[in-house]
Amino acid sequence: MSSEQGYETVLEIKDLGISFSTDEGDVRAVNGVSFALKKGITLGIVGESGSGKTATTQSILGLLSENARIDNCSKVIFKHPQKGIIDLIKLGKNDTNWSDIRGRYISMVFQEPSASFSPIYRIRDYFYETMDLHLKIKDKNKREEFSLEMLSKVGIPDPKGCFGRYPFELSGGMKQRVMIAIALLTHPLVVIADEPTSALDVVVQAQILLLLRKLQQDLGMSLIFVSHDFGVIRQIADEVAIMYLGEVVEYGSIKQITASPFHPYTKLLLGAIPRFEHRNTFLSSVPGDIPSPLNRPSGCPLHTRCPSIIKGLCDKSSPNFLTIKGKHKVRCFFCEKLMKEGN
Amino acid sequence: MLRFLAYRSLGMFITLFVVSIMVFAIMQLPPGNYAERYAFRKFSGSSTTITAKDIENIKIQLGLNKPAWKLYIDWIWGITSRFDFGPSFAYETSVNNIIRSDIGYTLLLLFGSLILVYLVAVPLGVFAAVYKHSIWDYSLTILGYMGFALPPFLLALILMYFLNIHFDLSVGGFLSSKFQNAPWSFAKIWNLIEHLFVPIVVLTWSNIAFQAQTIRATMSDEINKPYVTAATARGMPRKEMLFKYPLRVAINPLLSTIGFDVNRIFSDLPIVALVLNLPELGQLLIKSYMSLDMYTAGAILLLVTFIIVFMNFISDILLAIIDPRVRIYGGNSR
Ligand SMILES: Nc1ncnc2c1ncn2[C@@H]1O[C@H](COP(=O)(O)OP(=O)(O)O)[C@@H](O)[C@H]1O
Ligand code: SF4
Ligand SMILES: [Mg+2]
Repeated sequence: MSSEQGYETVLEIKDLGISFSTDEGDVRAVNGVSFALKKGITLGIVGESGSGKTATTQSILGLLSENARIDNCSKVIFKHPQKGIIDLIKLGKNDTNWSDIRGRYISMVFQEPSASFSPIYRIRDYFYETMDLHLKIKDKNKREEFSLEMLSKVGIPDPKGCFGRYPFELSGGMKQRVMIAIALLTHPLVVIADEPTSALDVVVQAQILLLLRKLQQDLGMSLIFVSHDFGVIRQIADEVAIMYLGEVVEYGSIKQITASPFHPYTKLLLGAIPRFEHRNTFLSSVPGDIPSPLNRPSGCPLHTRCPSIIKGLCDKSSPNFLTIKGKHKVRCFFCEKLMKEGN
Repeated sequence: MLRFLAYRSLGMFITLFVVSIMVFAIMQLPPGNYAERYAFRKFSGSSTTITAKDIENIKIQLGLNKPAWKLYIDWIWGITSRFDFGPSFAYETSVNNIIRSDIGYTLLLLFGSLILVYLVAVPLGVFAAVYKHSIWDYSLTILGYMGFALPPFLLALILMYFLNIHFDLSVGGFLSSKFQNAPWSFAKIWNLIEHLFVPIVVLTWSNIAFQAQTIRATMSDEINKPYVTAATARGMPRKEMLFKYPLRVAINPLLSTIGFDVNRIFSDLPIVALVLNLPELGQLLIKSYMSLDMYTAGAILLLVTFIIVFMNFISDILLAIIDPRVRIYGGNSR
C-alpha cells in the first residue's frame, strides 16, 4: 500500500459516492470522497450537519440504510491482518466476512450514547457479547477481570458497580465511556467515532476528548473522528478533511489547516470557532444555508455561498484537487488562481 | 423483582375482591329472586294461593333468607375454602357440576387461541418488518384488511361450509358423537383438535391481523434505532442480532395487551359458539341470569373476570421479566 513518511495505510477510501433514494428524489449525500487513514493517526472529518460525514463513516462498515446506493467505482480498501486486502464496499450487508471486521478490527463509537444501548441488557452483557464474538475468552474470572480493567482505563470510578448496571442507570458521559471501553476491548486497528461528544455537555465533552486522544496514542490505533465543530477537531486530530455537501474541499495536517487555510469554506469554518476573547460575538457562523442535497448546485458546491466566487467559472465547472504542499490539498478555482499569481 | 411481584399480587387480590363484590351486586340486580320464581312455577295452575309465608319457607329452604352481606360472605367463603360455587337452583345440583365441562372447553378455546395468535402474529410481523415489500409484507397487508372486514360468525360459516364440502368434516360441537362418552384416547384427542380448529381460527383471525400489524410497526421502528446499528457494528450476525435486540423491545406492546386479547376473545366467543354449536359459558350465563339462577350466573361472571384479571397480572409479570425498566421503576418511568 502507499506509504508516506513511513506511515502505513490501514484504510483507504477511493472515490466514494453515495445516494439515498427518497420519496422526493435522489439525495446525493457523498460525492467522490477519497482519503487514506494511516496507522496510529487521528483523522478528523469536519463539516456542517448534512455534509455527508455520517454517510461516509457508515459506508465503511456497511451500516448504511436500505435506501442507500453506493457508486460502482467506489472502494473502501481495508488491509485485514490475516486475510489481506479486502474491498469492504463489495461485501454484502450480511456477508460472513464482516464477523471478524466489525467490532474486531474496526470499531465504532456513536453520537448518542443513550440511544446506542438497548435498555434490556446490563453493561456486563455488552462486554460478554463482544468477548463471545471476537475474543473467545471462556474463563469467567478472566472475562470479568479483563472487562473491569478496561472500564477503569476509560475512567469509570466504580467499575465493579458499573458492570452490573443497566445503561439507563448511568449518565450520558458514563455511557459514552462504556461505549468507548467496549469499542477498544478488542484492540481494533481502526476506531470510528461519529460525533461522540456532540450529545454531551462541554465539561464532559472535554474529558472524553482527552480520554480518546490518550487511548488512541497508548494503543497505537487509527482514529477517524467526526465533528461539526472545528474547535473539537482541533483538539484531537492529526489530519483534517473538511467536507462540504458530500465533498472533501480541503485536506491537510491540523497545523497546515489552522495556520494557513486555503479554501474559502475552511476560512469561514475557522471563523466560526468560538474564541475566548470574542465570547460576546459568539459564533460568526457560516453565512447562508447549506443547499438541499436534493438539487446540488452545479460546479463547485460552495458557489451559492462563497465570498470568493469567480462568476462564470465556479458555477459552471468543478475544481480538481490541487496539492499545495505535502499532504495539504485544496479544491477551489480561486485558490488555483492565487497560487498561479503567487508563482 | 420480589417487591414488584408482591406489589402486583396485592394489587391483583384487591382487584379480585372488588370484582367479587360487584359480581355479587349484579347477581342481586334482577327484580325478584329465585324463591318467587320457584313458587310460581311449582304452584301455577294448581289454583293454590301463594302466601308470603310460602315464599318465606322456600327462601329458607334455598338459604336465601339471610341478609345480603351474610350471603356474600358464605358465597365467597365457599369458593375460596372449598372451591364450591354454591347450588344451582334451576338445575337442582351444584354449580360446580354444571360449569365443570364448559369451563374446561372455554379455557381450551381461550388458551388455544392466545397461543395461536402469538405463534402466527410474531413471526409474520417480524418477517414483514425485516423484509419490507416482500411476500410476507403483502400477505400481512391482505390479512389485515380481511381480519378487520370479516365478522367472526361469517368466517365460521365459510370455514364450516368449506370443510364440509372439501374434507367431508363435520365440525360443530367439540367431539363427534361416538367419542362423546368414550374414555380419553389418542383418537379422541385428535377428534377434539379437529373440532377446535375452526373455532380457534375464527377467534384468532382478527387478533392475528391486529397483533401482526402491531409487531410489524414496532419492529420497523426498532430496526432503525441507533442501538441496532451499534449492535451490527459490534459484529453481531444479522439473525442473532434481530432476536437479541429489536425483537426484545418490539414484543413489549404485545405482552402488555394480553388482557386486551383475552377480552376480545371472550366477547367473540358467544357468537362463534352459537354458530358452531359449542357448549360454552357465555350462553349458560345468559340463560341462568334470565332464570334468576344467581349462583350459576355469579360463578360464570366471577370466573371470566378472574381470568381477565389474572391474565393482566401475567402480562405485568412477563413485561417485568423482559424489560428491566418496568422491574426497577415499576413501570412508572420510560
Ligand atoms: N437514510 C437516509 N435517507 C435519505 N437521506 C439521507 C439518509 N441518511 C442521510 N441522508 C441525507 O444525506 C445527507 C448527508 O447526511 P449525513 O451523512 O447524515 O450528514 P452529516 O453526518 O454530515 O450530518 C443529508 O442531506 C441527509 O439528509
Ligand atoms: S471554487 Fe469558486 S465557489 Fe468554489 S470555493 Fe473556490 S472560489 Fe468559491
Ligand atoms: Mg452525522
